[in-house]
Amino acid sequence: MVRENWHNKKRHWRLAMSWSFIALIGLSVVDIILGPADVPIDEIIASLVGNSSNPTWQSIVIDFRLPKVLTAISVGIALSICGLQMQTLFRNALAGPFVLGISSGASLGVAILIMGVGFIQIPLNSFTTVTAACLGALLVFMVVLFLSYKVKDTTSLLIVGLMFGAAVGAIVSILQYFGNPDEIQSYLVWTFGSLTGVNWSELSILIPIVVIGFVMVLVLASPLNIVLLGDQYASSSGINLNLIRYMVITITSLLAGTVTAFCGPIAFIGIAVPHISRLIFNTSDHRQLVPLVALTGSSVMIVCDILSQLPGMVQVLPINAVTSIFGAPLIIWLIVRRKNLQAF
Amino acid sequence: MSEAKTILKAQNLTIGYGKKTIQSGLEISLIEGEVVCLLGQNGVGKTTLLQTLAGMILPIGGSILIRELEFGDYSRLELAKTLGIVTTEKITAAGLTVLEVLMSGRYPHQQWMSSPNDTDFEAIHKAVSLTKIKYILDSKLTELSDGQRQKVMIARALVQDGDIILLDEPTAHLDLNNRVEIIRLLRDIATDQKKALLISTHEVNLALQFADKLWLMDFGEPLVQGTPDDLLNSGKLNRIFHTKDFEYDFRTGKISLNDKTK
Repeated sequence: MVRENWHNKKRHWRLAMSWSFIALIGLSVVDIILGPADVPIDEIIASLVGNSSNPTWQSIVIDFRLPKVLTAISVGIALSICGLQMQTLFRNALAGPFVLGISSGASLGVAILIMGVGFIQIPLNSFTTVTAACLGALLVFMVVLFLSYKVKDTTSLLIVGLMFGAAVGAIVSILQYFGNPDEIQSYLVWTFGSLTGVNWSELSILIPIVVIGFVMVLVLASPLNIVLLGDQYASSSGINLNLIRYMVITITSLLAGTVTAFCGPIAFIGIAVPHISRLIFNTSDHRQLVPLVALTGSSVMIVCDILSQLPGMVQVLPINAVTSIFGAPLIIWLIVRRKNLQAF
Repeated sequence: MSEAKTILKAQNLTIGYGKKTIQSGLEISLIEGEVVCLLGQNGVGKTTLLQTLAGMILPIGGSILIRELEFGDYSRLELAKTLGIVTTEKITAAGLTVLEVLMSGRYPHQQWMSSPNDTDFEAIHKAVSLTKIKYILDSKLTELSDGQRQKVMIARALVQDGDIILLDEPTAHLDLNNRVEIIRLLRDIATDQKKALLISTHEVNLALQFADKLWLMDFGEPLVQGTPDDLLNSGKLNRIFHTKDFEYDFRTGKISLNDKTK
């Protein structure tokens, strides 16, 4: 009897996984096909297998569109599993890397690096950017986690997150005030968020980090289910709660920091995608939810990227604008449907 | 009838948190097949005692032995296999289904990242039959009534398959039917499954009927233990509850006010 219920549950999950995977592949194909330059579909396939007759098209597909799709997938996976872990650890439906100021922390790290570089003489490259962003994220996460023990309720914690955002914004303004125009320019461009600026060599850093983070969250899936039941049940089930907390902090800072370093602060994916997945797939079991959230996150990111390319225009909207325009109403809708926020 | 075994034994135990000592010199033990009810007013330290015995709060002094082995000799997972809890902690965030919650109780028994095996399914099956929660197996925890949820958490403690189950006010917020049902369920679990149960509760009359032993806690007084009859007849039960302004018949639950104006 119990076994059948369990296998039913697994069968539903496999079906959900298959559909999500098909959706992701389909959306990725659409994303590669669409773009300001009209590349014929047969030429896209030819470019992908490496025998295109037109070097420009070959370059568009291989050096621009393919990395962009891979970046969108990586960013989607990273931010959404960050959000999932944080919501479980804080047992708070509104937790997410952006809302609780983790992304702001990463921004601060990058701001100091870009605009303070004149004083501290650190070379500005992808490695130092990633390190600065991760350190900034880690710093904020530790403070937020510490404060979450002091203030137990949702509202206070969110206000703390907002305050972090405000404080970081102020520090960044001060840095801008003293910065030179070039630095300010490059920082501002970075804050818009972009999936297009990531090249193959940067992907070779981004993808392994996302893979490592994803595997670590999979390892944490079973304990995270029990963390959802509360601290007492968790510790009486033989779980080392502190270890889980440190692991979640590490993974989240690493993932959110890296993504923020390469693509700028991208809002709402972290908080919204876990809710979208729970709503669609009707499960809170982390063993099932972690892969589903990763697939949903990458699909959502690709949809946002498709939407950011306005049809018939050469310009591309900043990705952060697109995620916010769709993410903000979604969160408001979720809050209005309060019932669903409490049971996550 | 074979001789009942002592599963948990606390010697010269001092409990409290931080610098605050709540009880000292405790000599208590839990015996298989027995239900012990822990009675006392709010704030007297029932939860602290429970959490200390569960290993969630460190004792200030003394020792706790489980099956003759020091507490500290158990790893987290071994302890979880020996001792389960049902707490008053409100579960606010679990969209988990009953089956998923029960499966999480098998955590200490499962290999790292492995799928559930026959033993896991059997343990869950047994707990589900005992607590009669088959019909809600696929419901989400948040959709359940308080009584149903309490049964699920008791089933989860059973699934964990320890010899000791500690329950903190398992009948709080329940209506009479559910209270009696839960207490009877716990009584049967202790007797049939040979578990040692410690239940903190305010249900004095239910405790008197169903418990093998009572532990009475009072502010600044040593813990009193004995069988329900002894404690009732000796008047110790009345003293614990400081029934100065009213007479309380613990057997019938009848309250008669003392008229002070006379």
